[in-house]
Amino acid sequence: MRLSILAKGLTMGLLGLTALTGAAYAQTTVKIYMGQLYAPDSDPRSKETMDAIIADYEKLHPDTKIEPVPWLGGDQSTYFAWLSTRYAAGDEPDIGWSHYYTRNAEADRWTALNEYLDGPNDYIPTGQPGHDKWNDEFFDNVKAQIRAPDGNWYQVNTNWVETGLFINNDLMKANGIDTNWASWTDFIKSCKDLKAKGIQPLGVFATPGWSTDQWLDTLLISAAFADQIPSWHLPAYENPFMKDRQLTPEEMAKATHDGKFSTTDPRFDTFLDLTKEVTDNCLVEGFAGITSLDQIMNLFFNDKVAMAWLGTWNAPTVRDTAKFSVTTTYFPPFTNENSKYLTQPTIYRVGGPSSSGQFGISSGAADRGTLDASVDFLKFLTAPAQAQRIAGYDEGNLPVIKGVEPAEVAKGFSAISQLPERGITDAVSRYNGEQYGTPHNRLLQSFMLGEISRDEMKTQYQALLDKAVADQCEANSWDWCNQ
Amino acid sequence: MTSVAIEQASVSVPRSRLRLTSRWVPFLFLLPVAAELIIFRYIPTFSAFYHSLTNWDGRKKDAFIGFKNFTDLFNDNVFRDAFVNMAKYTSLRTIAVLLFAFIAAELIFSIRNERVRMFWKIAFVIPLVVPRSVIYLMWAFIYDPQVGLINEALNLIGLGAWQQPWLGQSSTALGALAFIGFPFVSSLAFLIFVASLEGLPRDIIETAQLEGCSIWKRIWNVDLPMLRGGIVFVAVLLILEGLQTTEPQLILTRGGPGTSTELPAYYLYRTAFDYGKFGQACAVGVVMLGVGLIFTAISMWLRYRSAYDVD
Repeated sequence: MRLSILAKGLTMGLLGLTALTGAAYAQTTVKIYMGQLYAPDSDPRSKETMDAIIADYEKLHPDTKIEPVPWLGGDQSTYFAWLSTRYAAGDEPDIGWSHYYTRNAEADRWTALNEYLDGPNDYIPTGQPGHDKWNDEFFDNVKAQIRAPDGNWYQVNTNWVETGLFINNDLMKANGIDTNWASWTDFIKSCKDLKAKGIQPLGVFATPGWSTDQWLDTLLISAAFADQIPSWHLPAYENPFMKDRQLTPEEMAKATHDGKFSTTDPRFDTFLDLTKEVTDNCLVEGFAGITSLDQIMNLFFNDKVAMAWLGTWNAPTVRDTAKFSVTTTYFPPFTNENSKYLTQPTIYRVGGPSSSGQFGISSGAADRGTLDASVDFLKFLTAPAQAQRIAGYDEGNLPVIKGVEPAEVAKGFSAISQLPERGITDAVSRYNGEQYGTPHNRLLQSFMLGEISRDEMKTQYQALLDKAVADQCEANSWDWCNQ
Repeated sequence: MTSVAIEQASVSVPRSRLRLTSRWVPFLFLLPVAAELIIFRYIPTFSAFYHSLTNWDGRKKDAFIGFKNFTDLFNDNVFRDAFVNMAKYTSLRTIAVLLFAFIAAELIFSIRNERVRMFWKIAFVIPLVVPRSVIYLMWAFIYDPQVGLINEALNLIGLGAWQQPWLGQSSTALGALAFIGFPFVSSLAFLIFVASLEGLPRDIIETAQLEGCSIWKRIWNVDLPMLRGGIVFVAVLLILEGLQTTEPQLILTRGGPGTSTELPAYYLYRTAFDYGKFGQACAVGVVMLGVGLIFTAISMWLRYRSAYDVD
């Protein structure tokens, strides 16, 4: 009798254990890296909100565990080094943050999301954009910009960034500087007036890596080649939703291949003239020895520069830190006085999808069996209900999901976001890879400092353009490459 | 009673087994270290030799491409500049660190009072615990053109015209990086020199003093020759450090302005982690290894060439 009870107990126990083990094996763990959207140490609100979102999801899907990796801190190169190492070890997050241009340049690391984006997103209420077709919930201009040269989408964007000129009003008023500029020429004159009074005008820095000079660079080069850029568009990338758009790496490569974008073009001299003018008159002294936006903000907060070119993501810090009156505005338009190749007075906005909300799924997720769960969580995360919760603490980014409102501090950038799109994008993504952006920045840095002559700069730059085209043709085998 | 038991036990163990055990014990203790070295040092090094001949992207691509990575490297002016910068940076830093650390060590050595000497040794060594990244960030403030200590000091003493954007122009950036940590007293070099000086036979020092030898003559004829091993050791470390330096570039200059502060290790870092060209990064590593070995061999030759302490 006793033995029988013991045997039954053992059998039940074994069965229970098997069931438990089975359940444990059935559970899928999705590892996610959300960048600054999950930064428990520096932003407790991000942890509170994301943990709540994850808990809600896990309640709906008890068989899935979402494991967020906290923000690594440091600058982006730290993260990309970490990510590369993880990839080499086959231990990268299933859902990861990255810049769209980096992702598109390393497409084999990420999953093409097209088929999922064409499908429904059941986390969006019926009748709302995105319910029937997930892709419909995102802004069309954003989708157009993040699309890879091969036609795929390797990420979804939940938000967008803009940049603006932050002005120390008190300093300007005390020195009698009028900031109601009608043109770029007026802006340069204000810079000269500030310098004459011993005040450093504009906080912009330039390094071989990423820097805010890249923004300036795109404004100037877009103004210099303004009349040519539309003719470089290729039919494959035309988008009815984007009147103005940035050239894709293929369009840049083809224009370079055809000799339309070259250093022998007089427009390139206009670009160099504009660069030299703004460098000599406006940029803060030592701009080439500054490596971070934080240093620029310190100079701004300590009255060492009158203006700083910052991003929407800096707006909450400026609001909370500046001890003087700050106006957020933008540069005035270039006119024919600055570039005779402009068809009308124009200033371009510098913003884009390089924001906190750029998420893609690792190509390794399919091998690990976490792809479906990753797609499902991404659908949940990008549904307006969740995106609005994130926008509540991620104040410095403008949501680009239909039906999601920006935070109060980011609303001031709405007018800037209506300005035309620059035709030529940042150097780091211009030819689909930082290996072309870094040498570009080096040459520009040397030219701006007067350390290499114009002719030397042009010779070296043309060699760089030719190499970029040759490499891109080899990597992509575009039809026109052999023509 | 216990000792007798042990004696009996040891007697009962066969002689051959004892010899075998004692022969293998040291190797057993070495095993964890050897495993660590093999797994984390030798295998990656030999793997780098292989991958330097491939187009490895750190993940899937890994096709054999012969010596293309090496030809691409030597055709890249940034890579060539990196090696020239490395030579300048390492020379400057090696000379400066050896000189100042040696002077500091001699000053400490000349203090008679044991307690005072100990106080200064501790005072000089304590900053060694500050993390390097913090030191670089501190020097970013020291070199800052707007609010930096150097420019402010120059302004205070009426030399405002000498103010410079130290890290913001090619002519001063590399030198500025080399002088980070000045006056270099809080360094391993200082510790080695102090220890070596204190280890010098007192009778030689006293004989020199009795013979009327001046301090300068003693330093030149006694201290320097007897510290030769330590000096060469520190020099080798500094050369290898010069080859491997990436932190100041990451924190202070990103290799700029232009290519003025680019160094081979930072070039390797960017090639691997920014550009995803792991195969080419391995080629950089192989070249660096070769250069490191050559410099180390030269230094060792200098160390042992007609040295007093070597037969």
